[in-house]
Amino acid sequence: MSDVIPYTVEPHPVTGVPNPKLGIWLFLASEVMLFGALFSTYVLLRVGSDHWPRHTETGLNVPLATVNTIVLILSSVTVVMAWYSLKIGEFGRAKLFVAATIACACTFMVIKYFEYSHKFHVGTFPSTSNFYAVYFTMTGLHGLHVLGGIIVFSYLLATSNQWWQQHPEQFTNRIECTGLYWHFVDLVWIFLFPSLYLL
Amino acid sequence: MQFRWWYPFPFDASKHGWEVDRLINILHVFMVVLFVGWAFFMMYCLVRFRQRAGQKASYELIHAKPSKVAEGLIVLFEVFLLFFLSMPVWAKIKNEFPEENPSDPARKPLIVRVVAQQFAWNFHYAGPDGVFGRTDPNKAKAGAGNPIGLDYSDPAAKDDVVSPVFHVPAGRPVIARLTSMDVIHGFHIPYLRIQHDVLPGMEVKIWFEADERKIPPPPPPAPDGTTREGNAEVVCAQLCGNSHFKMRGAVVIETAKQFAAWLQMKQDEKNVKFEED
Amino acid sequence: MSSSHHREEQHGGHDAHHPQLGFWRKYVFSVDHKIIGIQYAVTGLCFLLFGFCLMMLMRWQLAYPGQPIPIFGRILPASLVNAGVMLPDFYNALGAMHGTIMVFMGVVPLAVGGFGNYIVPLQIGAPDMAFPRLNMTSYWCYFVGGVIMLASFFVPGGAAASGWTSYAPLSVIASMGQTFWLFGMIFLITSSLLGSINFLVTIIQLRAKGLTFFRLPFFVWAQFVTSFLLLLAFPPLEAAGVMQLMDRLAHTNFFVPSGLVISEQPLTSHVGGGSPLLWQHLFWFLAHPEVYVLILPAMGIVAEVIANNTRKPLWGYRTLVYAIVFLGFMSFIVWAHHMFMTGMGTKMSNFFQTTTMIISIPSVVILTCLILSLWGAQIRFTVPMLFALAFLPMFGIGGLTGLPLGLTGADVHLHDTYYVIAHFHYVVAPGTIFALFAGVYYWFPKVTGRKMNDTLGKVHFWLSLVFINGVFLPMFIQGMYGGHRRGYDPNEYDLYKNFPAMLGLVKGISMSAWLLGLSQIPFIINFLHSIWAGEKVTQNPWEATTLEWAAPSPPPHGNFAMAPVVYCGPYEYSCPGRPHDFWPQHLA
Ligand code: HEA
Ligand code: HEA
Ligand code: CUA
Ligand SMILES: [Cu+2]
Repeated sequence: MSDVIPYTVEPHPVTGVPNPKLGIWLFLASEVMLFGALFSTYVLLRVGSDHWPRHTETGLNVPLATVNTIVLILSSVTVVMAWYSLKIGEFGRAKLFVAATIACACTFMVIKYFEYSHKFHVGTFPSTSNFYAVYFTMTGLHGLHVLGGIIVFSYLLATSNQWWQQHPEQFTNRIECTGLYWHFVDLVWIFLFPSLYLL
Repeated sequence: MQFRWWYPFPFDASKHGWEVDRLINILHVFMVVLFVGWAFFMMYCLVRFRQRAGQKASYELIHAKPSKVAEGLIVLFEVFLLFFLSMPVWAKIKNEFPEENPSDPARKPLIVRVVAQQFAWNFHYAGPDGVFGRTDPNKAKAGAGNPIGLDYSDPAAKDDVVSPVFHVPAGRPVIARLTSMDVIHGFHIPYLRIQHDVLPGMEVKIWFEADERKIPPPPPPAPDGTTREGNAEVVCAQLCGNSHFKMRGAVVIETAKQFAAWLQMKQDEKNVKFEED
Repeated sequence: MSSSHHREEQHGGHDAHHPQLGFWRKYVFSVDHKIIGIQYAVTGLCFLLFGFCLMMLMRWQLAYPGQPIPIFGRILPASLVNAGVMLPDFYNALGAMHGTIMVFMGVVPLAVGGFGNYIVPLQIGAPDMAFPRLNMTSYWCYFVGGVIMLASFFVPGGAAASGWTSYAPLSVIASMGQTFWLFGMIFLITSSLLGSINFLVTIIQLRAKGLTFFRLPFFVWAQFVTSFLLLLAFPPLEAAGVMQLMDRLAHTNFFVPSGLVISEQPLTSHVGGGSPLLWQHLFWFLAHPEVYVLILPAMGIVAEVIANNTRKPLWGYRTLVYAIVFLGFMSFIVWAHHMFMTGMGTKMSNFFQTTTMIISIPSVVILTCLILSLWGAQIRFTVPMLFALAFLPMFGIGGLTGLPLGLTGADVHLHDTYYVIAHFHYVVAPGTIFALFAGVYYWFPKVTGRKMNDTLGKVHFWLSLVFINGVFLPMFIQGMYGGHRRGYDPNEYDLYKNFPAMLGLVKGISMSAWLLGLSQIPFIINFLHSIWAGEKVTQNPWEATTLEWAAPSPPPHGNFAMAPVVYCGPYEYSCPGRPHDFWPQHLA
C-alpha cells in the first residue's frame, strides 16, 4: 500500500535521518534566525545608546539566574538520560527522567515567575528602559519556548505507556527530537544569561 | 518646457539633475533594446514554431552562443552603470559636500534646517549671523507663529527666519539638514532631483544646487484665475499619517538677489513684531 | 495510448482499504495534502479577489477625488466615508490592507500553500506530505491570521493604515488596527514557517525511487528554494512583529526614538531611545526574500507549462536550477535597496547597489533559458500556455524596471513614486498572477478530472492582458513625472496642477483597473462552472511527462496505487526513437 508515509521512524538511506529529525533541525534553523534577530536588536540598541546599564545597575538577580542556568543544564542532561534509557530498553527509568526534565523546566519557570513579579513589584516594566524592553522580550519569548517544551514533554509522558508498547522506536525517536529542541532552548538561555545578567 | 509623454521627466532646475536624468535615460535605452531584442526573438519563435500537424519538436537544444554573449554584455554594462554613473551621483549628493567657507563668498553654501512634522514642512534659516537659534520641539506652537519651537531667549535666534515656503537661491549650494519632530517623512523636490528620508531622532544632511540658468517658470494660473506660490514643490514621500497627501510645500527658486531681498523682508517683518511685543 | 493504458491498471479498487472518514475530517480538518491544497488555493483566490476589490475602491478616489463613491459610498459607515466620499484614513487602510492581503494572504497561500501542497507530493511520487497534521495546522494558522486581518476592518479606527511596510514610529502610535495586523502577521508567519519545514522535509525525504535532485521538475526546485527563503527570512520579521507589539502594548521603545512631539504634544507614552531604522532593516530582511517567494513558484509553474506546450525539453535545465539556487541565496543580501533614502553611508549603499545588480543576472538567465526553450518547438497555444507566454515579457518589464530602482543615482528621483508601484506590479500582477492563472488552467484537470472551458479562458486571457497593461504601463510615466504613491488626493499636488493632463492619465488607469475587474468574470464563471460541468478528461489530458499525471484525476487518498519509480528526467518530450512525443518519468 502506498499511502503510508515512508521514513517516519526509520532513517532515510541517503540523508541518514528520519523525517521528524530533519524537520526539527530545520525548525531549529528558523529558531536561530528568530533569536538571531533578537540578539542583533540587542547589540544594535546597546551600541546605539548613550547609556546602557551595566550589570551592576540593572538590579537583576544574578544568583537566581545562576540557579536557573544550572537547572536548565541539568534538564538537558536528564533528557539525554531519558533517551539513552529508552535506547537500552529501560522504559521505567526513561519515564522518571522525562518527569525530572519537566520538573526542572517547571522550576525554571517558577523562578522566572519570582524574578518577574519582583520586577513588577518594584516598578520595573518593559517600558522602563530599553534594557528592560530587551530583557522582558527575550526572556519572555524564551520562557514561552520553555513552556512549549513542558507541554510537549507532558504529552509524551502522559501517552508514553501505550506508545512505548505499540511503537517503541517511534517513541524513542520523538523523545530524541523533543530533546534536540530542548537543547536549543537551553542553548539560547546560555547566551541570554551572560548577555543580560553579566555584561 | 514642453511636456513630452515619451520623456516624462519633470522640469529640471538643479545642477546635478542632468546626471540623474542621464542615468535614467541610458538605462531605459538599454532596457528597451534588451526588451525589444528578446521580444522579437520570442515573437519569431511563436510564429515559426507554432504547432503544425504531423510535425515533431526537435529534441535537440540550440547552441545559444549569442545569448551567452548577450548575458555577458549585460553584466559588463551593469558594471559600467554601477561604477561610472550611479555611484558618483550618489556619492556627490551624500558625501562630497561643498566647502562651508570657500574663498569665493558667493559660493558659500546656504545652510537650511528642514524640520518636518505631521503634516507640514518648516524651513529654518539662520539669518545674517549664520548661527541657528536653539530650538525645543516641546515648545512648538504653530498657532503662535513658532512651529519649530525656536527659543527666542537665545540671541542667535533673533535673526532666524522660519518659513513654510522653501526659498532657494539659485547658483549657490544649499545644504539641507533634515530632521523630523514626529514620524518618518520623505523630503522630495522632483524639480531638483533630490530626495531623502527625514527621520525623527537624527539629523541627516544632503546638498544640492539650483541652476541660475534654469529657474522654473511661475506656475500657470488655475482655471478660476487663482495663482499659486512657488515655482517648484516639495512633497512628502513617506507615508506619515492620514494627511500625508497634504504634506507639501511651495518651493521658490529665485536669484540670489531675490533671495536676499526675501530674507531681509522676513527679518523686517519679524522685527516689527518683536517691537510690538 | 499504451502508456496511459499501462497506468490505468495500477489503481483498480484502490479506495477499498480506507476507513470512511466523516465529513469534517475528510473535507474540513483534513490531513490529506490535496484537500489542504484546495483549501489553501480557494482561500487564496478569495483573498486575491477581495484585495483587488479594495484596490478598485481606492482607484475611485484617485480618479474622482472628493466625489462620492457610487453605491459603496452609501453602504459604508460614517467612520470610513463622509457624505459618500472616502476619508483619508480609510484610503490608507485600504492601501495597507491591499498590499498585505495580496502578498501574504493571496499570492503566497495560493502559490506555495495551494499549488505547492497539491502538486509537489504528486510530482515527487509521494503519498502525502511528510507531516500531514502539521500541514493541517499550518492551513488553520493561515486561516486564523486571515480572520484576524479581516476583523481588523471592524475595530475602532479601522484596519492598519501605515502601509504594508508598517514603518515605525508611525505604526507604533497608530490605532488599534495595527495591533490586529501584527497579531495576524504572527499567525501568517507561523503558518508559512510550518509549511516550509514540511515542504523541505517532503522534498528531501519522500522523492520516489530514481527521482534524483536533477530529475526533479523545475516547479519542485522552485518550491524547494522558496521554502528555504520562507524558513530563514520570516523569523526575523516574527521577532520584529513581537517587538512592535511590545512597543504598542507594553510601551517599550525598540523602534521609538527619543523626543518625539506629535501634533505639538510631547509623546508621553514612550520614553524613546530606540531606532526606527531597526524596524526597516528587519522588515526588509524578510520582505525582499519575500518578493522572490512571490516570483519563484510562478517561474516554476511557467517552466512546467512551457515545457509541456513546446513539446520539447527545457533549455538549460541545470542552468535553471543553479540560477534559482543562486537567486535564493542572493536574495538575503540585497534588502537595503529599499532603504537607499534612509541615510545609510555610501559604502553600505554601494554594497547593496552591487548585490542588487548581481541578483538581476540569475533572473536574466532564467528568462533567457525559458525563451530559448521556444526554439525548435511545436508550440500549442493552450490557455495555460498563453498565460505562461505572457508572463515572460511582463516579468521582463517588471524586472528590467527594477534596475533603475536598484541604482541610487536613479532611485533618488524614483523612490516612492508610482514608478516603484509599476515596477513591482509588473512582476506580481501580470507576472505572478498570470503564472498562477496558468497553473489553475493547467492543473485544474488533475484536481477535478475536468477541463476548464477554452473559449472563456481565451477571453479571460486577452482582456486581462490588455487591461492589466492599461493599468500599469501609464504608471511608469506618472512615476517618472514625480507622482507619489500613497497619495490620497492627486489634486493637492502642484505637479499635477501644472500639467492637468496627467490627471487624465490617472483616470485612465482607474478605468482600466475596473475593466480588468470585469475581465475576471469569465474566469470566475469558468472556474465555478467547470468544477461541476466541465468537459471530462483523461488522467493525462496535456500528455505531460511529470509524475502528477501518472496518478488518477483526482488522485485518491495516498495518490498512487503503487509507489512510482522514476527512470528519466522530467521533460522527455519529442525524444527521438520513442513512439509518442512525450515519455513519462515513471516509464522505463
Ligand atoms: C515578485 C516580486 C519582485 C521581483 C521579482 C522583484 C525584482 C527586482 N526588484 Fe523589486 N520590488 C518588489 C517586488 C519585486 N521585485 C516590491 C513589492 C517592491 C516595493 C515594496 C514597497 O516599497 O512597497 C520592490 C521594490 C524594489 C526596489 C526599491 C525601490 C524603492 O522603493 O525605491 C528596488 C531597488 O533596488 C527593486 C529592485 C529589483 C530588482 C533589481 C529586481 C531583479 O530581481 C529583477 C531582475 C529581472 C530582470 C532584469 C528581467 C530579465 C528579463 C529579461 C532581460 C528579458 C525580458 C524580455 C522578454 C521576455 C521579451 N525593487
Ligand atoms: C502580490 C501582490 C499584489 C498584487 C497581485 C497586486 C495587484 C494589483 N494592485 Fe497592488 N499593491 C501591492 C501588492 C499587489 N498588488 C502592494 C504590496 C502595494 C503597496 C501597498 C502600500 O503602499 O503599502 C500595492 C499598491 C497598489 C497601488 C498603489 C496605491 C497607493 O500607493 O496609493 C495601486 C494603485 O493602483 C495598486 C493596484 C493594483 C491593481 C490594479 C492590481 C491588479 O493587478 C489586481 C489584479 C488581480 C487579479 C487579476 C486577481 C483576480 C482574482 C480572481 C479573479 C480570483 C477569482 C476567485 C475565485 C475563482 C474564487 N496596488
Ligand atoms: Cu510626511 Cu508623508
Ligand atoms: Cu527588494
